[in-house]
Amino acid sequence: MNSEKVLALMAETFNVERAILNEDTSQKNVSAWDSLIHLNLIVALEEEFQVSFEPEEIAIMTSFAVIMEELSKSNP
Amino acid sequence: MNFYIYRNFTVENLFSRYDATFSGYSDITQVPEDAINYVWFYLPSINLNSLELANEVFDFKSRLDFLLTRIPTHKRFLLFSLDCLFEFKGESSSTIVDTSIQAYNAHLYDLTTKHLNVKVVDFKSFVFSAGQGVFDWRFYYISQSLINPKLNITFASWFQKQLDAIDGNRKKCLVLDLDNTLWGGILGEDGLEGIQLGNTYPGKAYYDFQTGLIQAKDSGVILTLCSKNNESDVLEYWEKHPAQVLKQNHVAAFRINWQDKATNIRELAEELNIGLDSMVFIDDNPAERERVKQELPMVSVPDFPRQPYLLPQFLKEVYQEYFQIYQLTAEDREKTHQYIANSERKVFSQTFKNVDDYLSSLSMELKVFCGDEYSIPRIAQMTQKTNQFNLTTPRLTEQDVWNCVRSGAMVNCLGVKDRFGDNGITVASIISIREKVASIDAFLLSCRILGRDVEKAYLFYLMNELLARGIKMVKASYIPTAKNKQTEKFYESCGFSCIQDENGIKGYQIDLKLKIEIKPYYKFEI
Repeated sequence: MNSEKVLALMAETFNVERAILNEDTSQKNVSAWDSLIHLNLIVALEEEFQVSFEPEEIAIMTSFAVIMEELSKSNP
Repeated sequence: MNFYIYRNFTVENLFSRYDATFSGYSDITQVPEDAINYVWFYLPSINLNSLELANEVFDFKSRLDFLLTRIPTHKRFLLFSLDCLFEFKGESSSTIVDTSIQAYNAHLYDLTTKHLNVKVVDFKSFVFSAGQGVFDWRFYYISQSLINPKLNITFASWFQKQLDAIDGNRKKCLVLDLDNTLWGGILGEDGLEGIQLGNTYPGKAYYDFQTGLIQAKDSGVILTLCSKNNESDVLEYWEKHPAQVLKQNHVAAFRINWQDKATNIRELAEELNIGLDSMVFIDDNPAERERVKQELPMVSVPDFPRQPYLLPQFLKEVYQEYFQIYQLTAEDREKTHQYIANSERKVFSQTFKNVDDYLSSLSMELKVFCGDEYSIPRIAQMTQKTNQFNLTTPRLTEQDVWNCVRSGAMVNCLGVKDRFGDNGITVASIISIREKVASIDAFLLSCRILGRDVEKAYLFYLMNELLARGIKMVKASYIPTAKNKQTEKFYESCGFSCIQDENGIKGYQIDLKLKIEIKPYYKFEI
């Protein structure tokens, strides 16, 4: 559903080519994804999908897979 | 590195647009030499113990005072004022935190009077405009952000406005409509008695709007009028309406006629000798605004509020958007007066036989200043604002100009007085000298002084000075911009030879032999 939108948002936030991101993308394999960029990504996701994440969720949303999971929880 | 930022919390996101480097949290040990600007951005921590919070603020002050002794005095040091984002009071009468913050902020402004390179950035104005959402507990706990990261973009554009205000980057002129803009109603239809202006709403809103416009004028904004009306009706109204606070002498020029507004605005720009891109047009009529937008895209045209009660807020926003200034120079304060005197000069000049005749009748007094604490703020400001008569258009800060002085350059400017008034400092120049060769790195003139060949006389004066110092070779250049075409032939007209022309960038030189004779009506003094 939203996976393309999320990947595009991630590419924009990380300032990288969309093509290098995929469903296995996580903080471990994207060097630009540091703690500050993480904050920007959360802000971008919250604004795009009109949701609000809890600190505990934000802490674990460090991979594409978890992001999709948390998004589907708040946007059933 | 443009900015080196001293901070005690996470600010990286806020400055992502800038070439900035950050100190460690609360670290004041580093003063990197390659920074162009230093920024002090501390905010009180989130601390639910008021006493500790107040002590922290006192501690900020000692740190800052220590750091200030180590920041190079020729580099700009921007200090953010403090605002408390969260306070938990045991007793509601307790003022300990407020008092410490007020004392701290007063101390910052006090520092600006003692250190020319120090400027205060009013952080409260950001908190105020950002409103409730400025602090967010979630983001605070996950990242030590005291400012909601959702406001990153808002912050960056606010910060840019503060920098513009400090640099004196602002528009120059407000063009105001009359009916339903300065007052409620239509003069031609409702008559003097029918106009809404005075003590009761909606007249009070227009009254307040006018009061604010006078303050804008006193802060150096040129006010002009552009209205479709009979000029004689308006002038009569002006004499008679008791609540009309904005007087005719607040206004530098007007076009009250039935001509289309784009043409009128063009004429106003010409009369005042300012660029169309330095004008802001205020009109309640969307059709008029649209037409001006179409025909004069360089003029700024903000939307006008539908309800009169929104006028004060509207004026504040327009002012912050286009005219905010950190601090006025004496020249700014006098500006409207000078523009009005200039219009008189124009009329006066028509009664003479020739230009010499006119120029000598002006009784000009030209005072040459060397770059010093008095003149450098104005020189820097002129380099920021002068577009038309500017040969190389360098944009310099006060610190840049100080650096020129330190490197041995001849930094000068010229105050121009005549029988109509004091125009203040209106010409500036920077000439570097290396091994007996002088190069004119900057040469610029405020347009309100154009048309009297003062620039030529001043250049000749400087060339004579150089010759007296034994310097014979003078180099100069012209760098074209969108606006300085009128200076394209300036050096040719002063006897320089063009030795280079690459894509319109021209290099000149002149070999000085004899002292140049300057017309006696240019009376120079030092």
